[in-house]
Amino acid sequence: MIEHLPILIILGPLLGAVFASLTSWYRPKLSFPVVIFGLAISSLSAILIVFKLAFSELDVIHYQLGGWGTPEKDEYGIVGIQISVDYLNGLILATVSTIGLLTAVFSTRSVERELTGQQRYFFSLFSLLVSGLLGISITGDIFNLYVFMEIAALSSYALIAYGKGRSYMASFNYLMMGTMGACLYLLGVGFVFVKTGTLNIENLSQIIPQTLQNSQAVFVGFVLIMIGAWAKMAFFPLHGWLPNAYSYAPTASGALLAPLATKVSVYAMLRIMITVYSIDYVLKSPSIQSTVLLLSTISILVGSFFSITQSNLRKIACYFIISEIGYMVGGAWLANEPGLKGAIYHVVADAAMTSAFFMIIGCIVYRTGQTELKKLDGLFYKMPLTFVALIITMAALIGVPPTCGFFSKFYLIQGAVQAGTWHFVIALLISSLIKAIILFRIIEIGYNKVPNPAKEGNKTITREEAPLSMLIPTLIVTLSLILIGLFTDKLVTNFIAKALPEIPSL
Amino acid sequence: MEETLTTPFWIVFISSMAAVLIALCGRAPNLREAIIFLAAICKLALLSTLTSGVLDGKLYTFTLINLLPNVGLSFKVDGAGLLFAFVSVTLWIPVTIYSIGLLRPKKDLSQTRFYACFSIAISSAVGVAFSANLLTMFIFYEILSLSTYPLVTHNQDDEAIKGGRKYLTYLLTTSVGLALPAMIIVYQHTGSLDFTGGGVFNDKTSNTLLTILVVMFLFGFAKAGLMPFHAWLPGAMVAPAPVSSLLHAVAVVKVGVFSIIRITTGIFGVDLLANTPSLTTIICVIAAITLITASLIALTQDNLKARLAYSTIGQLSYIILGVGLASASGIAGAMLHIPMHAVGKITLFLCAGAIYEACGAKYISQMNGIGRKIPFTFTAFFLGSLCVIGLPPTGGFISKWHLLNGTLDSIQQWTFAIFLISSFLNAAYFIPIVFKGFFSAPSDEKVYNKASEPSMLMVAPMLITATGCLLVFFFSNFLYQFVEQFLNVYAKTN
Repeated sequence: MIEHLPILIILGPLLGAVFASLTSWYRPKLSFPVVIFGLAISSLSAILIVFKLAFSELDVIHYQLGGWGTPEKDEYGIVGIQISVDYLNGLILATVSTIGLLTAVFSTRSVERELTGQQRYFFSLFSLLVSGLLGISITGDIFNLYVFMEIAALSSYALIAYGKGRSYMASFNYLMMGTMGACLYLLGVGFVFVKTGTLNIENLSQIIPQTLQNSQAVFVGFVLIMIGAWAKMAFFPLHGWLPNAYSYAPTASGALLAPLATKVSVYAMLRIMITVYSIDYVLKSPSIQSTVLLLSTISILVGSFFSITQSNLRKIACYFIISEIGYMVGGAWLANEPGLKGAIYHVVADAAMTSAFFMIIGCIVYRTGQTELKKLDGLFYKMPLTFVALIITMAALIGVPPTCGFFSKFYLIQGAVQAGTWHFVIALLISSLIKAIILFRIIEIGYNKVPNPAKEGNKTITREEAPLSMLIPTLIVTLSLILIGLFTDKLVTNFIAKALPEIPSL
Repeated sequence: MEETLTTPFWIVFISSMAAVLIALCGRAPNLREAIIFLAAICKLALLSTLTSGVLDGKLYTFTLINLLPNVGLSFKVDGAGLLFAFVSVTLWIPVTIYSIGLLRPKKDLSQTRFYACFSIAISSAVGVAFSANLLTMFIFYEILSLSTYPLVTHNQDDEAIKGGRKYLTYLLTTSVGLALPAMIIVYQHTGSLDFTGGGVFNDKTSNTLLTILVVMFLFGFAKAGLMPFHAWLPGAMVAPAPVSSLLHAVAVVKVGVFSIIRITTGIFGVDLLANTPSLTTIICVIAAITLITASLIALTQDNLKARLAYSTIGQLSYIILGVGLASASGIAGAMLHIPMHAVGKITLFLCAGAIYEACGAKYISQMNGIGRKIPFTFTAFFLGSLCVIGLPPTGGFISKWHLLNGTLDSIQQWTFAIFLISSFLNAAYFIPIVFKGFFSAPSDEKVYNKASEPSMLMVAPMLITATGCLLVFFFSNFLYQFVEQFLNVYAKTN
């Protein structure tokens, strides 16, 4: 059983999606427990496998589907489909599956209200999306990565289009950009395959750095793959689709997509950069490196400056994602040890932060029906726990210690200082300050605007938190922001440092 | 001698735990305030268990959890930390009594929040005092900024919100924009953030980098009130009197200067500073400008709390100037000025609050003659101002004595004149208030007729701290032992 854990991670939600739609013909209410069961299996297996990695001598756990690819059945090892878990994607898998599970629990009530009668379709798509994301993270093959990318993308187009009003248009925009990105990625994979004759990541990591360092075709493949990944993760200037797509989607879809979809694309980029092509390869083209770093800086600044002009909490959260993507791409392209550590750490940290933020927004929408910043006055007195969670999440986004946001920023700035990329340092600091301004605005509106209702003469505000099935997942994720921060050293030395490749010293 | 002990951790966190209990006991005011006193007494008791060990030259360390490679959430208790912790916790007790006297009769409904945030603030001030490295200090520094925001905006009116906005803008912008990158640059260059006697830099570090870092740290810890990042302090005066007195005369601002003392002695090292005149010149010039300018501005203020705020800004620069001298007696004077100025200024702020409660007067021009109607309050004010000016028999004399000694040991001898000028200015902005309060004809009849001593709960704490101003003079030798221990670790060779 234990050796089948890797495949259980994707099979759980994949079969969950299938059975949810089948059982729902018999009894619609069954779809939700089926999905939860699948996600729970997946999350449990991911966590078990992370522990197995941490406490064993193994660096990587391979799993060949159906035994194909093992020496007995296929001596060249190129036919089988391989999935593998190492230090880099172990963390991502655990994060994605756990957040998926918590979001599923979270979304019951909100879906019940926003998508009455359509829950069973929603949950099938939900589960399919999670299995696509997990597939991207676990696969050991760059073509299968494309397949899973499309599974995730197709289900997310549908999930977004479930919303009302402009969500069709937003989803269509996303579809255009997403398809373009996927095409470029596939084209890049084609270039690589033609030159190397393999799609397996492990084989590629042997072949490309050793024999194809100077191949033009492989280089074009690299650039195409990168652009494809950037379109998927909404990296400046390919970010236009994101704010509308995530803010017009139903709250539950937003809560799942926002934290996970972009972060998994960042993982795909990291995997291609550090495993398939190696950091040496990235450092070989300094002009591209400095251009990407400049784009990251712009991405951070654009995201931050747009967020401060928004009057809607959901839009603010969406622009935050764009600036956080700049953090991660920039950190990865600094291509030194602290920068990469910061980028990988921030994938986990930002998934948790964004998840908390969108869950909080979900709670607010459930109780007040809107997210206009101006109308949130007195929120602290109406929903004290949600409001405190919002403050903690904002503090993490700003980077107030001891939350996880502080430590990712610490590593990223350290990396930028080491590389001498001062514009990136300044962008990180400006983005922190802009987020701080937004936090004060929230505090002033939600806490100070309406005097304590207990004072005589003020209209009373009744305390009305979101239902427990929404509040508990929200609080768990919020609490995890502090826990991840406190256990930074353990996380970095036990996983992230081991996930790093050999970095050539300059 | 280092010894691992969990006591420092408990000392720091006991008042945070008290904050939780306080928040839970909001409905039972007596129980709530009993918890505060209990927490303060426990804290003092635990602090005194460490005293004899520290005075014998021991260092108590404790690491809670490792946050980054080589850098943990760690505590280290030495003479300076213990002295600062004693000052903040001891003064917490009279201020709590005063708060009860001030807030209870008003039936203020946010009292529970007030006390809870206050406890967290004390926790973080002690956390800064006990920090063993820059990261731990930074964490507590930020918690202090955030936990005092609800105290500054306590009244929740427009003025309070404006003051609070200024407060956080200044403190967060500087700490995130300057102190944080400076810290990361230090970590990147040396791989360590620990406070150690010789500093963390080696000989290879270039002078330019050191200069940039010194400036970033000086302005980054804006709680120290160096100009031009001082405006948050007058803005924060919208807070209730106990907040202004304990936080904006003792805990918050002293955390700022204490951080700078720690960084200059523990990160740069006294030797490095003493051998690099350009660095000490920068520190001294920035501090001297702030000192003189703040004293001059204080002279022009008619609002009593604003005058006190500018006086605080000036006095904080005394401490930074003392550190900038990079001589043993200069640092001793700077360290001693923390408790001396604390008791003096807390008395003055408590008096300002009491005068406002007694007769509604905010402006100095209204206060002529009222000293005769509220003699206790004005006597306390007199003693407090003596202490801040630095005249015997009050504590301020001792610390200024050491500071002046320090200027003569240092290469920055011109600062001697700055200290003297500033002392005259201090006298010029305090003595007239006392003199006119006792001897002039009433300037504002309405205020004069209304004036009467406020409740005992407010008068007693003032008299306690006013007596404290005298006691620190007579027992200054005891305080000096702590400083001596600190100097043994950090300024041994000097």
